[in-house]
Amino acid sequence: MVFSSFTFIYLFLPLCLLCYWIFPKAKRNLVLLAFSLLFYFWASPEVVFILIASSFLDYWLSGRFEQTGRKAFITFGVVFNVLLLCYFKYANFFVDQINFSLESVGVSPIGWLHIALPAGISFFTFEKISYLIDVYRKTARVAKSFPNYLLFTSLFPHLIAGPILKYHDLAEQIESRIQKSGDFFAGWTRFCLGLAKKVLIADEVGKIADNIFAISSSELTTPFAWLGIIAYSIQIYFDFAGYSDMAIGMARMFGFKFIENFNSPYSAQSMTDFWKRWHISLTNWMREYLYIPLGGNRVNSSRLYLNLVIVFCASGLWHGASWTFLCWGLLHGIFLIIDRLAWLKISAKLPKIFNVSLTYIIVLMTWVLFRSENFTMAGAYYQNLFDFSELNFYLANKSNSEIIHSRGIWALAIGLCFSFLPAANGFLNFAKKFWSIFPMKNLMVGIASLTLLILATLSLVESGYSPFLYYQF
Amino acid sequence: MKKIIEKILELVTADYSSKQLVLSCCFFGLLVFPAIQYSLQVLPKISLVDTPMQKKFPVLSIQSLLTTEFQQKFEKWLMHNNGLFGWMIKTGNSINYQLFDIGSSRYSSRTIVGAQKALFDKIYLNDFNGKYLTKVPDPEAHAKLIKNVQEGMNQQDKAFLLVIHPNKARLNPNWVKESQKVGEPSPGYLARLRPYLDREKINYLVVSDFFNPKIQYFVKSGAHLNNYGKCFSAKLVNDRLRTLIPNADLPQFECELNNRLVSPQDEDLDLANLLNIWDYTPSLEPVPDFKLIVKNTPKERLKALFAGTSYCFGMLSLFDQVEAFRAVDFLFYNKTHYYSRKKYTPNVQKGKSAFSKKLHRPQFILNHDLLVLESTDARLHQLGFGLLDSFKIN
Repeated sequence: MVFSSFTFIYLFLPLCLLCYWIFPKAKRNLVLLAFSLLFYFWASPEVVFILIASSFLDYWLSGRFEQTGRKAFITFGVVFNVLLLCYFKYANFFVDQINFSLESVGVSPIGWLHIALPAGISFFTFEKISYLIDVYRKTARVAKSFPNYLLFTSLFPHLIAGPILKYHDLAEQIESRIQKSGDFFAGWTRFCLGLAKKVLIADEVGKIADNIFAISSSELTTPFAWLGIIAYSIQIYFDFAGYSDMAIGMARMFGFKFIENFNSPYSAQSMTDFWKRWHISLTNWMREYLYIPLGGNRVNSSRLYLNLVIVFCASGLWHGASWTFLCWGLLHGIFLIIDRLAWLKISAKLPKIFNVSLTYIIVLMTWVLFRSENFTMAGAYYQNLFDFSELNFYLANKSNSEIIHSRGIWALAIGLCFSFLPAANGFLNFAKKFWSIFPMKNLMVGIASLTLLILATLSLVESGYSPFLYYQF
Repeated sequence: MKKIIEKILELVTADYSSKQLVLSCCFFGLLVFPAIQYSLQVLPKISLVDTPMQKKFPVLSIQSLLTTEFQQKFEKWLMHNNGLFGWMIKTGNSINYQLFDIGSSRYSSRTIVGAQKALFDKIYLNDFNGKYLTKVPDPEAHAKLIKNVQEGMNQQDKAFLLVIHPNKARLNPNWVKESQKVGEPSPGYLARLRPYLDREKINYLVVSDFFNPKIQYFVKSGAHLNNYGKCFSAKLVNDRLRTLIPNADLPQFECELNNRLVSPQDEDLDLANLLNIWDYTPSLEPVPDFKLIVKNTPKERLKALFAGTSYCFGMLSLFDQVEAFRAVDFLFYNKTHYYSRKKYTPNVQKGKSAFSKKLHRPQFILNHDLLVLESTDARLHQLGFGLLDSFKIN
């Protein structure tokens, strides 16, 4: 059950809201916990028991650490969670690599039954690790009760695809939160906006990207190759940002406040700036629980660059178990090193439009690796992007309407506008001023949100089931 | 119940501004509306063309839950059975049609909106763009295979006629959007096969050869020839059969245009209905009106076998009206057997849904006085849909 499914929006969510309101405040966390476990059971019935058991282990280990002060409990917990993630996410990859090596020297491969990737394991494992480290660092106290801790790990708005929450950010909200007036309104309007981003923009633009990436490299022309990767960049942004909006909005409906996960990433003026705006919760987690423990900025330059490479390679592997993801992370790490070496100083003197364009093009180039299944596919796509002998929008065996139709063009145009307008000088100020003189803001926001909900529902029913891109991570 | 009311009152009287409260109630109302519709049927059910409305409730078991089979089927069941499915699909499609000039946001959709709101089944656009040319058989061998059937029929004093109906897109290229074209329009497989049909002296009829360019034989809202086109095609076939079997008792009829235009009806609207939108009427264009003049109905009627595509339905309907045959068998895509046994049934009746293998035997084919093998231009490479291969007479 994804957030953009009919079952979730029109059955699960209203039932959950209704039960949440009916039960007294003291029982509301239990209601949320029950619905969260049901939500996860629906997606990964077998893994829900692993989630509960491993959460119990975290809770017990943190309790033992608090009692004894022995670091070993925390170390064991962190290692256990990392191993759990490695088993579910990377075991197939490692076995495939070993088998490939064995086969190349003529040895028969290891028999191995591929393991299905449980939904959201990368997200909740990082959150569980954050709890153990927070308890160790004493930035958070041991959870008051096991249900409270289980609610942190399994709270359905963030369970499957984040934002990645740190325990100390949510601990207090779980124990006592005050639902302010307007929270519910702000929550559902944000949810509708996220749903529209996902269904009306990302899914539509995603079809263009899928159509283009399905064309063989011998047939693909350069303009279509660019269109394909631009469409993918909009798809991945609106898909993930839409999901984050829905998660933040739903959490708000229940009185929780999650951190923002995106801040107009394609308006970034450098790769360093991009990572301050893209998947902010992952960046924060990596900084707090990996980069700083590695020494952070307080080391010599060469060690700092090595730390950046380690952090971004880890980030790449976190996204998926394949060499292309690793290479994607490595490339980002290298660009951040280039930023630190000189580019940030140089780019400060260059026009904003140049910096934004260059950053976007670099991001596009890295998305090729992210989207490709292997290096051969990525290599062929890079070749298509820069083969300027085929500068036309005509394909040998497909009409343009089979690649992109008018609805796709509109979705792409709107996606590009919302991605780049924040970069325009004075746009945000203009938008704020314009909004401030607008009468009946609540009414406008509410009606617009309800319209988006209806349009998104019509679209998701028409196109059927559409899973989120970030599910695979 | 009292508690629930208290809680609702608590919510209602919370510190919300009145507008936020009303809008929030609207939001929650929207969320629960499908459940209300499912239980109370507030709105009438809207059925969709060619879309199964009711799905069976999936079987719930521990096994189906653990494999998530139940969850997947339940989600589909809920989507289809909430009572709003027809409303939502029709509204969504209408938005696509009116705002974006497309039939569906899915690129795999089979109903395509062309230029001037003309509708196409995707296979005709694919053929128009020459997409099937990589799949066509060797035309020389193909013509010989057809020749084999013709000779087999002729040896037994039976008639054989190959009828080729035109591709709507090829006949009306101005109804195809530029974005729907792949280069220049393809002449199609017929251009390749035709010299071999001539060389093998096959009795064939390309219906579009006889079209008057001033008359519209297709309708924008339908997949097939319009009613006049159907009559025209049936008359061409009938006239050719009369020359092929001069001694046979076949009807004589005319399709006389009366210079009037009428609204498209029934099959003329098949693609428009498949769009599943609220109202296609503004895009409808009138079609030529005609009068069927029957000059002579036969007495010693023949038994006919038709094999081909849905274009045959139009022809057979006309042949029924002029009481052409005493019995008709129709092998629809060589998969479904339709038959007419009563003397003058107004419509060909559907028979076995699964075509029985024994009907493939030459004896079944030779049990008829004539065989009309029909295909559209777009499907010509699949002519007979397996019937030709199974026809071995030695």
